Amino acid sequence: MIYIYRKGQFALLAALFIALMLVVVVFNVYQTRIYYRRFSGKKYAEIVKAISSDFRRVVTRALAMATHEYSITNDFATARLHAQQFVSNWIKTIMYVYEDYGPQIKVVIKKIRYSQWDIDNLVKGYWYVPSSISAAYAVLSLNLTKVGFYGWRQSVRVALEMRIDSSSFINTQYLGVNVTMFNISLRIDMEKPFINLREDQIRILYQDPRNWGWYNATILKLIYHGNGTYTVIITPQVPLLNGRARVHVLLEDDRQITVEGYNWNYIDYIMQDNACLKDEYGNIVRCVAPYKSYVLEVLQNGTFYWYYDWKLPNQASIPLPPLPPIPIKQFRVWISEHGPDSDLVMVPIQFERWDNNFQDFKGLANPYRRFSDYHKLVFQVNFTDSRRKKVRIGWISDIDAQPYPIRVKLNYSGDYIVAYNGYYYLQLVASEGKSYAIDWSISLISPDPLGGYYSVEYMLGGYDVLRTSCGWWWIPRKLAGGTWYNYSGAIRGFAFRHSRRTIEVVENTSCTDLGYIIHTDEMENNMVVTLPYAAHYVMLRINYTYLKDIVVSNHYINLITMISGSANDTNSPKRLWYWYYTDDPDGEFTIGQYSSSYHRHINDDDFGGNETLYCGQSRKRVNDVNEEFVHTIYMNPDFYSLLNKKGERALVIWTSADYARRVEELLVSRFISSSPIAISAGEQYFFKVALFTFAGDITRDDLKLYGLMFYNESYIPSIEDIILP
Amino acid sequence: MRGQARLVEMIFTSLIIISVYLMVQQLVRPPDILEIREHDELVKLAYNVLDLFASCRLFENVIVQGIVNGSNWEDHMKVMLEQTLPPNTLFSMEVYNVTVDNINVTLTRLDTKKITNVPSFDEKIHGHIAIVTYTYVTLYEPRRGMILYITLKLARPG
Repeated sequence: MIYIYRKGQFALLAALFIALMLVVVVFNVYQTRIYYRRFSGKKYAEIVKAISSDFRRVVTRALAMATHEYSITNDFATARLHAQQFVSNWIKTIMYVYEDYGPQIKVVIKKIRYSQWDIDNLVKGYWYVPSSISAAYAVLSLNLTKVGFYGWRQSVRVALEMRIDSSSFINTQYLGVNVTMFNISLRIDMEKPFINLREDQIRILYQDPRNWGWYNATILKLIYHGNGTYTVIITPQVPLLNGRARVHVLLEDDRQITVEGYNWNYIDYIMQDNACLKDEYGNIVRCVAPYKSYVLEVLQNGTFYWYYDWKLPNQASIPLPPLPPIPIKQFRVWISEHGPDSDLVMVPIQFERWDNNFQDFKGLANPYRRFSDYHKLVFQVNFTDSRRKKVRIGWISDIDAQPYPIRVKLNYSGDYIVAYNGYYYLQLVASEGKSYAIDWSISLISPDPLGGYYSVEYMLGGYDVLRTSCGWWWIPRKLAGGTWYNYSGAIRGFAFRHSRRTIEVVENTSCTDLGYIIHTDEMENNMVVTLPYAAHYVMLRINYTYLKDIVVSNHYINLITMISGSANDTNSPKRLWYWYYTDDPDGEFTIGQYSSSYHRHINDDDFGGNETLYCGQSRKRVNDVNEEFVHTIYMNPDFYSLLNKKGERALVIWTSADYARRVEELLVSRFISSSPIAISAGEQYFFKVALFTFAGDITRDDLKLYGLMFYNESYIPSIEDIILP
Repeated sequence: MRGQARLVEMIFTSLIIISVYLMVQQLVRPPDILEIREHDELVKLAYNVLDLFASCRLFENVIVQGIVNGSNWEDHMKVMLEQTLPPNTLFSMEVYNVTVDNINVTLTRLDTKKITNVPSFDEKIHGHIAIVTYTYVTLYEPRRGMILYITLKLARPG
């Protein structure tokens, strides 16, 4: 018992001491842990704060990079990519320099709505309108795993916002100088007013309607009114249109965040078709007709054109407003579905690049370039159900906008360029030297209601005749040469040639062995062929300039020749049997029927009482012409006057002896084999041609409406009103 | 005799436990509160100074501007630190440019002269040193978009 007592006493004491020791140890460990937490907690709080403040800077820099780059390149997708790359590099940097803390870092890109704008994809811009913004939004998600810190999230909003007050424009005097004043309101980061705007941070472009292009205005003074609102005083004084000037404002803040605004976002035009039939008292009977589709062109100064260079008259009470110098991809056109009050529908558009005089087509415009004074905006307006249409030219503010896709495709096929526009095929001889042997340049191929296809060929600008050693004639002896370039677009396809090459057919060893040689010093040809999508016409603009004095030995200079038929279809029901022509769209056609052997039907040495002549070939009915190919030629007044001086222009309609071809020729001079004709250096033959074809029941009235009046400057559509928002 | 032996046993046992307790005390000794506070304050001070420099655009206006102009920016930065930090604070700053390619992050030392008011930071001499790291993306002229990596060491003399 005593042993047990003693042993128990020791064990009790030992247990008590051990318990006491444990309490002390645990207490000490706990204290230590508290100190550790306190110490390290302070440290990571500062680190998180430092990373967070740098994150705000990196998002700011990303927005500045993207908007600044975009203001130069107009390509926001690439600019955004560079901004995202920068953020990615920053993440790698943080991972590297804070490696001891075990950082897990993620930048979450989310979409947020701010005012009327959606901000997504890290950086975003809505520019070129009265209320414009550049903005960025991102969320930082951060863990520091080695110090046990998890779940930190920080959202960052960065922005530069500009509102042009359209109602604030005043023309007045400031310190004795004529000035224009207007207000802008600026905010940064979606909440704060921009309070320290400097004159060197803002650039204002204005367009004086009397001049061409956009000009830098001088900022005389910025007056701050508080809450981010400034009055901008600029000189020269800009004429007001509907109470406001046309100003394009570019702003870049200290951080290099950029934004652009324009004080309109669209312009409405009421357009009127003037190709109308009238009764004997001069009252309009009918204007609308099927296929009546104009492809209109607009320049940066706001001028509209039809048929390359005919200016649409402006009947509105205000001058035509210029279009802003913003990237081409931003533009859109809407046209009323029926009358001007009906719903607007967005239509395809295309931008073209020309030389400064709009003589040389240079190709389709780069959609990422700014609309400039050598560009054309092209779109199609139909007057098939209403004489009046509302046309809205607008620009979308989302700088991620993409251009319209291509619809007309021109493809090379062997020696040809072939295109289909929805109604017919255009085949253009593209390989130099091929056309001499087959003596035509352009083929218009129409699907035939009777099955298959039927085509006519056109020869352009051939001159002189080769008399072979066998005694027969080869027409033409010389033909314009050079390389064709083709471009596909959303509205129309283009084939373009500008060359000094002329092909001359020569007899090699015998009259059956023909070849060709090239001249580069005789004639310069500048030809533009345009093929509108879903229209019934092809338009050509042709300019021949003779480079030296030449003598055309056999008195043959061709402007345009239409040839139909070949040996294969002599007895075909498809072939064209009738010819007709007129030089007066309101007058009567001169009509005839082709013979089946060599015959000269018309040898008119005084065609054309005016500058436009219409010729056609058709089959079936004569009075109600249908299923036909038509062409119209419009001669530039200078050229027409030159022809008058030469005095021997001729319309010749004939049937050939060999393959029973049907030919309608428009010649500078009559074909008189024995009499040479001189062409002087510098003589310019400038004319436009429209080729068109119809398959189906076409009345003569319809032909007049969309065939003859269509290509006559007297009946050009007009702008009746301009409505500014 | 037996009672005495028990007493001695008790005393030994107590000594063992006390010595264990003291040993544990030594092993898990909490850090000196004053030291923690001082270190903590130095860290806080370092970040405050760097944040202040950032908000004043000093990194662009002194460091980047100095690099672009080839001027003696290290001395300017030293003066700025001397003016900003409390008296008797020892400091040393290093500035790096960060470049990132697809894989690697590279630090390039930018300061060619020491930015410090003490020849060297030796823990034995100066006690605890607060070392903070800081990254800064330049937003303003003369060169935007640089990623600077800055280390700032602070200590009290002693």
